[in-house]
Amino acid sequence: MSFGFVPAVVGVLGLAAIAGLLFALQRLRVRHRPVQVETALFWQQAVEESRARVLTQRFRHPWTYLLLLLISSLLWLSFAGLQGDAGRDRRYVVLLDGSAGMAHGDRFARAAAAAAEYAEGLPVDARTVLFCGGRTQTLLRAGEDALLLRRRLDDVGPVAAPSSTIAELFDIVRSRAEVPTTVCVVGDLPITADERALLPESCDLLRLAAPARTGGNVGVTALGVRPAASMRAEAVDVLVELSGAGGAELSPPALRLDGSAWSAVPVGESFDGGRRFRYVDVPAKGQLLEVSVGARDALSLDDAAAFTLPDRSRIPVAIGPDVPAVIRRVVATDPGLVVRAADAVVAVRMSGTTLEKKLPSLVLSDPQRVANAFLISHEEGLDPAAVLAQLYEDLGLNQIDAMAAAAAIGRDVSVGVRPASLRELAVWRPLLDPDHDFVRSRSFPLFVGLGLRWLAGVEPGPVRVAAGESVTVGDVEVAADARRARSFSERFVPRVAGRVQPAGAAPLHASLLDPVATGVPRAGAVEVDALSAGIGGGLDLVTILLLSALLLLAAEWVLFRSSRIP
Amino acid sequence: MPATAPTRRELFDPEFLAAASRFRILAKRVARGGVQAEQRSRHVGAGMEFRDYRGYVPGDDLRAIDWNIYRRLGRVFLRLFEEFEDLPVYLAPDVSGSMWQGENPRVRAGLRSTFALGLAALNQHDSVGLFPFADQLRVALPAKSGNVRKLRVAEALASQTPGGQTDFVASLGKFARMRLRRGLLVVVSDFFDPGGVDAVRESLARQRHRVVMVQLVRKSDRDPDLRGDLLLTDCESGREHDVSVTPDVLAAYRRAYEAHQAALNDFALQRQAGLVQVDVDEPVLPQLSQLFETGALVV
Repeated sequence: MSFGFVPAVVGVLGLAAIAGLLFALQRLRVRHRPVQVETALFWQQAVEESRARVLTQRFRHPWTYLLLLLISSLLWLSFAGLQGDAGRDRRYVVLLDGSAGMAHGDRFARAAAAAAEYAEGLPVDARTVLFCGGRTQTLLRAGEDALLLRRRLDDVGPVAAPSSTIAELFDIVRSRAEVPTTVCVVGDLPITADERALLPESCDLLRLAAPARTGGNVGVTALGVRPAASMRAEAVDVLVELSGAGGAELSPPALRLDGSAWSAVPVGESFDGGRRFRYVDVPAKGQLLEVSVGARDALSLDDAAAFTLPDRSRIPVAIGPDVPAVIRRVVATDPGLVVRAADAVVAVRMSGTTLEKKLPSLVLSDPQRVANAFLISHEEGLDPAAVLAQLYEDLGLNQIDAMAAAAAIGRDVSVGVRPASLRELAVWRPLLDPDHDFVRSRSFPLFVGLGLRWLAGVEPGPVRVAAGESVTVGDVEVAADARRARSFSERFVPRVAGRVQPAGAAPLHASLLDPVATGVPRAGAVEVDALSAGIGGGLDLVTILLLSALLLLAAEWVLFRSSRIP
Repeated sequence: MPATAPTRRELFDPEFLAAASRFRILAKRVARGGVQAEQRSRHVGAGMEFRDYRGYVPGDDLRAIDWNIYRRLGRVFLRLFEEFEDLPVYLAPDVSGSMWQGENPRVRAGLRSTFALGLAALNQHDSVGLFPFADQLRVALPAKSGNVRKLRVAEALASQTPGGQTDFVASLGKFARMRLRRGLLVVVSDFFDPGGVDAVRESLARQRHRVVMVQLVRKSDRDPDLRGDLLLTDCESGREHDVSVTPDVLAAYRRAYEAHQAALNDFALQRQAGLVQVDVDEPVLPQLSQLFETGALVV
């Protein structure tokens, strides 16, 4: 036996209370009138004679008995958590949107109250309530009492995260797909027609519309960088997009670099519902770029955004004395590289020679000693196949005409990888002969430039980091949303806006950048059936049972007081 | 709270005394050994009233020889005369707990009935003894005659206090073991013994006396005015019974009561004992007069 509504201890205490109540009622009902008699002798005989008869004739007050039986049964069934059969073969999942858009005024509080009211009317064993704010949190498991939901709702609130309910929705449908499911979304979740079509027919999707937004709002809906169009190597162009809802005014945002105001006149461009601002030639040295709009509106979570700019400082390169001049020319013409031995972080040297410092190096190797025309030495602990697959493209090796090179040298041209304590990129020295096709090809400066950047550890950083969107954080082990993965390139998804620290990678600063949260309707979203009937659930079966028992108790008391029943 | 016994003044009510004095108890024969009184004795001897003749045997009192018959017939006959002695009347009032219950307890009618029968005996110079009983029998007054006895009987009756639980077998068994002169045993009781009517019959059957039973009843004994769920407490033992008085239970109660009454009646018929039912809520003497409807109670 289990109790659907209360803990076991409370259930047992409740049963004891019922037993005590019935006992008290029975005492009230029988209420023997004490009489002292001299003829107890005959009464005893009479009772014994009557008792000797069949039980049914001894049975007294059948209507009273039926009334008591009905009351007791109602109480028992209500405490046992009797549930109707309707809907028991279906599971009900309530998704409470905890995204940033719900922080608009008191929308979340009202939506949470509506979700709780709706959940209370669902079958206890078939209902689940999930909070979808950045990461999913189960607020009410199947079989738990709705009182727990009210208590847990007090501990959650909207966070600076985009609407993530769609991902949870598909996760739910995929798990136990054979069970018909009714998903009720409480909040702003926009669902496109394609997304709706992906849901199985057994999944009913309903929406308990969140309270409407009131007042205007301006938010940062996009923030990103790209290499400076002016070709300045140490600068980037920054794009800031503002969206407005409710007729709010869109003026250029304020920018700060590492906490210091940075003033510039942006190039503005309007679009439907917003305005983009482009800031050119912003120096990129790894500073934190903060963007904020000055508007004081109903939603503050989208009023600011931040982005960690890439470090585009020139990479100092040390070049050995016997290195062919063609490489010196390539390094000299690359705006991101500079030949400077003093503080060099990478080197270019001939095989068998050493420099003052032991640096990651581009080595011109001897074909007689090295089997591979291109030999990549990477950090230990990485998957060599993954490293090869990634660098084959990133270093431009796929652009090399290997057949021509092999024909010129008279040997097979191959690429090899190996783990080592220090990064190294080795290439056969004969391939760099001036009259060789590889040197004359357009892939050669690309190979040298990208190779030196890889040796220096400079990764092409993300151009945009937004909450809810995946981002590549490098070729090291990262922890993404509690999952530890080990691969060459992990796509990381910051769930909530703010500074995040992936394991083994540089910190990131994710921004909200969610037009839906700001109030911009999502293009292509379809209307979901609104949940209108049944919200609040009316009276559930247990409440009806208890009310019926209460009415019968009152009727029984009236009948007893009027001496119609003993 | 138990009632009290009637006071001596209540028992000596002049009207009551006058009415009781009309009762007479006539014994067909009384046992020998008593004092001279008005009851015909089984002993034939030196009385005043001629009864018969018989032949002389050596040792007879020569004063009883009828010399006239000797002169006519030449044979010696003795003249025999009736002897008149007293009838010992043993009054055994029940003073158990049940007798003292209610606003008009049975004990009042019981003691008045006892006193009335005692008066009837004392008025004709019979001896009267008083043996109240409950769980045990007690000798309150040994059997003696005389006018002064009336006062003592009244005082003894007025001084009765509630006894314990009725036990006919123990009480009347003790009385039987006293081996008193044969006489009249008057039992005044409700005859509600926990052992049932069998205990009553057994205890009375062991008596060597003539028995008169005065049963103290109420109308409510047969038709109790009780309905509903009751906690009935035996006034003597304190034992409780949960009884839901329904028509069926009431009918069973009446059957049990009538069976009890029928058993007493049968016993009285078989033993040729007197049985009179005295309603305690009605005047006692008119009801007792049933015993004397032929002018006297012949025992």
